[in-house]
Amino acid sequence: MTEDKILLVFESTRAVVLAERECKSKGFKCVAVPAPREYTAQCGIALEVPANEKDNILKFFKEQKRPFKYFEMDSLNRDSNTSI
Amino acid sequence: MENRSLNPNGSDKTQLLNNHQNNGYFDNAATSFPKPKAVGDEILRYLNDIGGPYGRSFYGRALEVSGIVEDTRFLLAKKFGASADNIVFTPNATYAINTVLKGLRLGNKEILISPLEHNAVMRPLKALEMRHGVIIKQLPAFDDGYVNVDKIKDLLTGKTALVIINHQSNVNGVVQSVAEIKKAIEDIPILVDAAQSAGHVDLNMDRDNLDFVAFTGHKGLLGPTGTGGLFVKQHELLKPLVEGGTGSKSESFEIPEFMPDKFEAGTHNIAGIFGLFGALSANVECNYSREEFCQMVNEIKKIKEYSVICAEYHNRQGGLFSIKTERADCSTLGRSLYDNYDIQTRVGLHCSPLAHKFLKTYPCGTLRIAPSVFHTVNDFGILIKALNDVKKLL
Repeated sequence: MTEDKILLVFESTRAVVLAERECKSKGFKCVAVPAPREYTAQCGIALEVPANEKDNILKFFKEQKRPFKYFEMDSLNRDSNTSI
Repeated sequence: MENRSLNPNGSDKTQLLNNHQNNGYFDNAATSFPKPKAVGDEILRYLNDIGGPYGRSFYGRALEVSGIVEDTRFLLAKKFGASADNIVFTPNATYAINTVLKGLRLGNKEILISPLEHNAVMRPLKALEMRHGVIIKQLPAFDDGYVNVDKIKDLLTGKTALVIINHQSNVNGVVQSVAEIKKAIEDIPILVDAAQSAGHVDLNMDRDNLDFVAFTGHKGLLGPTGTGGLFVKQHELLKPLVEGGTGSKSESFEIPEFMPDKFEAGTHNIAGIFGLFGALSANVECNYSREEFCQMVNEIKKIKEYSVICAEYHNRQGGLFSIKTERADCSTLGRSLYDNYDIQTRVGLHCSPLAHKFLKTYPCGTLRIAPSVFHTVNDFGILIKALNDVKKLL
């Protein structure tokens, strides 16, 4: 299965707005998307980032100490390997 | 300019002021005016051009709105020496105060207050006294209401659950040393009512180890009405005042436990927050120095017909004060200043009967003079001239 993007979900709107800015300021590509139904236990907005940036982006967000979850998605937005 | 005289030969304010373009609005403790131009510009930008919700949605319009709301939170945090993670938006300071008083578990506990508290504190506190057996005690203070920090410890007991301090009085402008008071009460939480001080007086919530600070956006911060906020150091201590939708944890019937969502149920006053963003971004400098303000107060003190209700010492004086005269009721004085000189003031008890009782100006009240950062020394001169002239009419 092709894993071409990572979905990042945060607990609050504030967190996702700040995360989007931080992501872009570090030069990572990211786009805000509506969180898929399975993940709306968090904030209703998610960030979609390219899978090839996964390691750098996850390292970056872990350093920010802001709670988040990430999901590896295939090109059809199917959850390929849920991670927390 | 309106001529309000019932006498057809009555005074013409324009003539009396020699057509000088002065700023006669001295009621900035009620709400600030004028506002920086950016306030109206930002409100219109939101209403006419951007629109959209805070949070809730993923498209660009919503993200732009959410970004401005978070930028505003960040600017407030920067101004107050706090982390933006600890700032929540409220409609006003009163709402923020109620959030603390009704969110803490205060039943049958003792609460210490300054003698200059506003009804924004006193009314919810009296309701708690009646319904939940809260015991209210007044802190020892000097004649101007400045809390005597050295005597605070005498009042502390095992039941003391909260200390409430009006940071800057809306009657005589006394500024309390909240940092010293917090040191004296140690681990007991402090609630600072910064309605009058925010934007005027240095506030540093982290440095001064403050627990709760309630503030409004439309006075010293120069934003629009309907904006305000609360600094909360430890949100775990508080229950939310209201519950509702937050755009997060939507599957749950319980409000999220995390900040700021825990205290921000319902749609924000986004237009107002855009205006507050404009005000905070404008970085307005005060047109007069502290020395020039104190000189103006001293000039008024020299007019023997008036008593000036202010701090005993300049170093505890904020940017407003009151006056009264034995010659007339303050309402007569206020009307005379307005009818003859277009000088707009607030007369009466200023929603602070406790402060007026302590200052011995109850029940008549005072006439309050609250300049804006936009006033000039020339405006102060016109005010002094008006007070000198008006005393002859009383």
